[in-house]
Amino acid sequence: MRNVPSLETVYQDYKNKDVAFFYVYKALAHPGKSGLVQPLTLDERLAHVAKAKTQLGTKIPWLADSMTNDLKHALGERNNSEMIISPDGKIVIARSWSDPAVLRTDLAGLVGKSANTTTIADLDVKTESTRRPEKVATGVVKLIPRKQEAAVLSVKPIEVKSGEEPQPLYVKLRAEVDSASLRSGKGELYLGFFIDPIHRVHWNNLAPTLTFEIKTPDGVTLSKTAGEAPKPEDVDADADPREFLVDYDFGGSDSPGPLEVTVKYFACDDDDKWCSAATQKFTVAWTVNRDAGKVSKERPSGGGGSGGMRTSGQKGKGKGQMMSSADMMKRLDANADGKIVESEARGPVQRNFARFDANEDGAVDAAELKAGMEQMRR
Amino acid sequence: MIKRLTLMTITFAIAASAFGQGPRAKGKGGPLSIEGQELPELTAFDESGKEVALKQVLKGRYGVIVFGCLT
Repeated sequence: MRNVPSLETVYQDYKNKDVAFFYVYKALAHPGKSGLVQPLTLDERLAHVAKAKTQLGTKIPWLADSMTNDLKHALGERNNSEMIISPDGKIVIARSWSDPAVLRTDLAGLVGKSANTTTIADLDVKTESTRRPEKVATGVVKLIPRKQEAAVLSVKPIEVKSGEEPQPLYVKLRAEVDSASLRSGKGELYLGFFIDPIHRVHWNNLAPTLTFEIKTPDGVTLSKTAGEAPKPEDVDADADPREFLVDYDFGGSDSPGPLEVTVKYFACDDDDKWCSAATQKFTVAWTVNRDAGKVSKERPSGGGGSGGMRTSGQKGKGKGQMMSSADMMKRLDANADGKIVESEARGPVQRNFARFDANEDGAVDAAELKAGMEQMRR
Repeated sequence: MIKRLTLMTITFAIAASAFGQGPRAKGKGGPLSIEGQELPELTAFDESGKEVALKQVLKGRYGVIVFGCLT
């Protein structure tokens, strides 16, 4: 949210003109960026909100989307969209990417121009660094290259008791496959165990290293059902993910059951008040989680291999029957400005607009359209 | 010709009144398909974790909603 300071200036000028402002904290767009991982509970999402307030120094109040991401789904599925709602509950403006300068103009047209024009320099913004403690190393474990278009599987935690209380979800599991292999039922499964900085914890490398075990459903075979993470050398504490690749085969099943993954590890809190062993369990279903976010661009990207997405319009359609991206651009680019905005998109481009719009600028240009169509053909 | 001009004028007037003060300003992001629709009944949570109905917190005044996250 790079435009927060500018939005805050609009808020300062229009909050007294009876305009209500809210940020809506949604599912992470790029989990892994700055070490952050997708929250699994409302309390964790609210902790993200608190972190956003201090990190960004916001005065505009926040709302948290529900854990089923209802607002995101109902209001356009975009990462940084903005909308203006009229007093009678109509969405009068809905922009795919927030633009504070244009928002200011829109509000002036709707409620009258503000007497003030606050600048960013006028704001007394107090931001707070959220860097990890120096003792917690990062970048010490070699990451497995991942691709931004990987299909992220649906992962759910299974409650594990720690004494009387449920074990906190210090570790989050991210499971990815490529879409083509998911369709064929045979491929490579990525399992990444991320220690969640929102809990202010890190791996304890003085204790035994992380291990996992996987229970497979009938028919599904894995190249390994247990593993142990290598221990980073000369580092007592770190926060890098522990990652594994496992080959999978559905054994011809069309609807394979979920995996059950158990992970055991040792963690310490960042304030050095405790270190302890922990066990967590997850189910991994072979269905794509559309709210999981794209792999962070901070990660090394995978070269080669396949990826791409499934679209309902593509099923059973041969390569030769698909039009070229240039023809598609001509067909959809109604105002001939060389890009397709969401209101111009139709068919698979409309249904998968967020995926086509790789740079998230609210429009699909020729290169993005070509890349998106190539993914669909795989 | 007169008929066509009248139709164009009416169309423009309807479009302008729908917005309130004339055509929407152009922005970096294109318009979303939900523009012009009724805000659905949606539930979110305030900073303290209290469940709130989005329509209720905006009711009776203009509201600005901006989506975002820390990544």
